[in-house]
Amino acid sequence: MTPMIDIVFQLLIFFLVTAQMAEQTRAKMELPKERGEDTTEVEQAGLTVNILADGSIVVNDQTVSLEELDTLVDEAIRSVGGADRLKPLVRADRACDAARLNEVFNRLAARGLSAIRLATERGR
Amino acid sequence: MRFNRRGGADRKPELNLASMIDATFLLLAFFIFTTGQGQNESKLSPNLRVEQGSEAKDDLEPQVLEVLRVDSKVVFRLGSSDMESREQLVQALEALPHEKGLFVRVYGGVEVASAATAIQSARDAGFEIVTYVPAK
Repeated sequence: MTPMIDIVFQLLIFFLVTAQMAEQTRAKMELPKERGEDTTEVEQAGLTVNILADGSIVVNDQTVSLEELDTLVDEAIRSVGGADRLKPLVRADRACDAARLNEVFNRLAARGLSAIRLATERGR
Repeated sequence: MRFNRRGGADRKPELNLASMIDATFLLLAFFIFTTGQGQNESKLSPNLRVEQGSEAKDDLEPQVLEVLRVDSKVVFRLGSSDMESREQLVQALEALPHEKGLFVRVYGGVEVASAATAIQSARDAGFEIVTYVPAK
């Protein structure tokens, strides 16, 4: 029994450590402090694009280039069955240069996405 | 695996699973917790919804709010008037006709926070349709 308990504890420690590492690599960002729209329903975005303060783009915990973003957007559009059904959410750090936000918006518009949501956090 | 053989050869070996079950439940709780954290990122609320487009093809005389940096200060430009505060901006936007909607053009060199302020101000001023026009 003792070796089995040892292994189980090893696994436990492994998961705790990897979770800690994931926490450290997770995009640390401060969203614009705005009230946002008065929406009561909580919907899923379908595609969430994070733009960090340094301008790097993170999707699904992976740093991606603009070209890779195109591919991910196409996949998301296919999975929901059309560009009009996708509600992309852009989470941009409030200190990020808007030029980067413009690049991302242009890319999303080029894939046929007409309505985009800019994430905010309550604080004002 | 070691089994308890005390008590003679005729006694059946015992396997105490309590520790393993404890650890398994801990792992289960861990995964439930981390999975829940992951889903929260893609929730849409709160957010500011903007349309994507170009004012040139959508409207011949569009109402354009420009957000740009002038002399190291962020300025909200509406027509010929420049504003620096949110209150001034909302007041100016309230005076505009709302049925045409508003185009927000944000230039590079401005933080995303200022872009969000412009969109939020348009919403606060009563604009239903706010179109984001990335500046070239």
